[in-house]
Amino acid sequence: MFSHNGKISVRQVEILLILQMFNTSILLLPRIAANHAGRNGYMLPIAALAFGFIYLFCITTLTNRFKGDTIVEFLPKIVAKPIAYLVLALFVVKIIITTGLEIRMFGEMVSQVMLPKTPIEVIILTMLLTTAYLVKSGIEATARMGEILLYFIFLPLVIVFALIVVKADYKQLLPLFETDLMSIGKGAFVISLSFMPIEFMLILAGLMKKQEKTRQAVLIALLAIAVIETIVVILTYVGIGANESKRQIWPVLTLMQSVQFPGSLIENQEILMMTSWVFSIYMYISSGIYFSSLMVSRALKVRRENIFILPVIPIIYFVSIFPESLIDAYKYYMSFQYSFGIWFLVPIPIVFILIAKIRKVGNING
Amino acid sequence: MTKQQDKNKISVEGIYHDKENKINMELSTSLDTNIKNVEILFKDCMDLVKREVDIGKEVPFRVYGAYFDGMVNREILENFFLSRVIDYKNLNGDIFENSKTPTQIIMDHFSATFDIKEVETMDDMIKAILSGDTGLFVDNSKKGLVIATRGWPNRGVGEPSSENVVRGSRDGFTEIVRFNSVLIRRRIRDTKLKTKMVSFGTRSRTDVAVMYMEDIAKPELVEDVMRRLNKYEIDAIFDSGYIEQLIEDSWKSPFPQTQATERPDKVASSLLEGKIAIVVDNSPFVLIVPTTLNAFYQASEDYYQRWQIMSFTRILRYLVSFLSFALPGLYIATLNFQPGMLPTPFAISIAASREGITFPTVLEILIMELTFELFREAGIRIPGAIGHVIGLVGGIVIGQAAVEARIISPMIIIIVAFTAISTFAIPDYSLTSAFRLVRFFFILSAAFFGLYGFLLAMLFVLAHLSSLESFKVPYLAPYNASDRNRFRDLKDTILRFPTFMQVTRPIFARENQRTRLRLKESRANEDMEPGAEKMKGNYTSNRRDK
Repeated sequence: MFSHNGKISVRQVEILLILQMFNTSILLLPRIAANHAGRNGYMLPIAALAFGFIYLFCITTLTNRFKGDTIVEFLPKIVAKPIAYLVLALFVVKIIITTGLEIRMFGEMVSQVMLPKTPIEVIILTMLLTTAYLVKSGIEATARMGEILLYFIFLPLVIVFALIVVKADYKQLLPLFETDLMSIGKGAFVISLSFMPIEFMLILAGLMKKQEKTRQAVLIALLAIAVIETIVVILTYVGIGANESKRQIWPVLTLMQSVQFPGSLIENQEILMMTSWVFSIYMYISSGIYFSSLMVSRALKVRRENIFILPVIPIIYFVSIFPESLIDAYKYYMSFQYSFGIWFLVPIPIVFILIAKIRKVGNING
Repeated sequence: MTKQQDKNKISVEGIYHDKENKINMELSTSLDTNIKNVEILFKDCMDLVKREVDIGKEVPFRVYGAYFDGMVNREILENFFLSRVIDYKNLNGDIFENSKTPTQIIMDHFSATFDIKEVETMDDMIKAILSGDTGLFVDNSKKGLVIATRGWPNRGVGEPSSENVVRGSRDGFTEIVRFNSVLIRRRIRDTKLKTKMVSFGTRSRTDVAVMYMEDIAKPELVEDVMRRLNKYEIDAIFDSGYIEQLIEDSWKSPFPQTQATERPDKVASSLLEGKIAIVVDNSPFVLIVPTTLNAFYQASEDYYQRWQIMSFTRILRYLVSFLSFALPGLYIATLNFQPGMLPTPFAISIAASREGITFPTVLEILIMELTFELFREAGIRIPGAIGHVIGLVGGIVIGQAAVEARIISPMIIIIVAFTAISTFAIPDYSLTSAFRLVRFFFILSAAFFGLYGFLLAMLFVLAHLSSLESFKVPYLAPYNASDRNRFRDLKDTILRFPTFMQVTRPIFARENQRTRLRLKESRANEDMEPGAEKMKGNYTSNRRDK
């Protein structure tokens, strides 16, 4: 029987992670890749996997020591409570800011493609409220939603990609290997920041049914997203060219515009392709809202875990309307990712692993 | 003398009936007391037939029988009971001299029917009489007898009106709980098919049969169903719809969380999947729990016809069910907000057809949708012969005339008509009703925010469906949580895989009872595919190497 224990399966975690990583950054990816490695940018997601594995290792080593616990439960076991709660508060703030900037970028995109006359505040707020409706039902419903949205997100993409594959100009990828290792390394690191949602594993791991499979879940999600990213970059280059990718804010959107559907059933199909992104951003934002409110309610030991969902929404909303314009939002988003993206992926887990080892807390064999 | 002790006082509530409207009284050894009580309880019930007879010849042996006129099968009563009483009356009374109790004597010597049983309380007696059985009070006995003589007018087993099939059985459920359980039992001749009887409704005392396969259904599910059934005290249950709404998981959802069907074959196959059937007296609709969204797209016929055509039909059903709630919304979104999406010639032709129409598209769609809903409602209420006329009048007058009068554009007529037909392609009526309601939500959100609003509405509905459960089974299974049964349940979803591939039962069944189809043990080495022997061109050497 399906029990209501607020636990989700390995497959659900994989899907949640894939959908969270498949967010706005994918739309920017070809541009970032082109900036760092020119026409060899498609190598970067694969190279970024090396960084991904480090993140995976750091985070799962920490969570595996504390089976059944989320970060809210295991941090106070490692360090003194005030420090633990301070770190937790920082984590919540980070998630809220990332989610806020993410939804701002999303709002800008929707505004540009679909609703040029509607105030962006309305777009953002309606999205936030729709998300709140899902996450109030808890992690199980969210995970199931992820499973369903997987069909809605990737099926249209596969169709469009198939059309691009047929008509693409593969000479765009040549010559191969003309980039130096240094810029590949640097680019790979920047791309690897798109794996940032792995940090949600600090919470998700504690909500998994089979916690011994945390590593496997993250690994599969990482490999899947790296492959998807590579395909997206390659197709953008062969579709619109690496140089054009550099100039566009949303190169993938430009790519979508370049596609011609057979029989011209629909024109301006990039609007239709927005469907995929609206759905995947929805999952990212739902995770942002859910995890931040879950952490607050667990830290305060409130019995109803969804009670902080509505209070979190105005905060995220204010973060999202803080940037003046799209350019601002983009700037904030990128610099926030560069400066703070890595913190909860590598340094903080490592510090806590070391402290846990010295203090011998948690499952030592983990 | 206190009020409670005064048995002769007539006050139905309080003295005779407890809070649950059960008669709180033991049977008395004195026949006269029993008669008096029955007379009081059935005061002014002129349809009750009652009579006292002395069936002994030498020893006085009085009995008092009561039944409701018209509710009993008089043939059973007269041929198998009363005629024998009269026969015995003229015999010598050796039978009275052994150690048997008076009721046992009657059961052994006067009854030629199997179905006669002793009851101990007045409540059981009265309930039996009210259900169409005959009650027999016997002098000097603490027990009474109930002879099963139920037989009342009924319409018989007819064709299910809401779930017709071209191929498949034509018997449908009827209003009598016993007939319905027979229709199911005729399809599953297994002792493990269990039927639990409960009575629901303090006044109606409606019989409710809970049927399940003992070794396939999960015990916790059976327990859960029984627990939910026992939760409420209601005065009357007139249809399974009452129970459906009292046992469902989420009352806020427009989506049905139990499946109601008129088809015994559907119930039988569901029972073999580990689901539970709730058969309610006076209702030709049997409830099946738990249910999933996918189950509503499965018609009985899908399994009786070839898999290719039925897979095609399934795809069609899913597609049109999407269109049935989405099309008007999509039309508004594209036309009002994203006209660039339409191919230019098409957009121009739509614009031309809208020339001279004053209403905005949203209003046009809303007017037409509501008009159609009106036709549907009126069509049900209007007597048969006139009903067809209404369809004609509606189609021609509202359709043609409204377009010519430039009230609405022809595109709207096409869309509303297509949507309406789409709803009828979904095999389940209650799901259709949910989609009808959801459609308006899509229309309004598309009217406000265009395609973005449409997508939000879509997310909202999907989120709702993801959080919905029916008896702890996710509503969208097997599209989610499919790994629970190693993705096997996906073989019977949008595509209906060939029958020989449907080897497992879905997640509803117990884990050790998941195999539905396998090769016979003696031929376990052969190919699962039917006709595999022939393909190899040799019937004898068809064994695979181990």
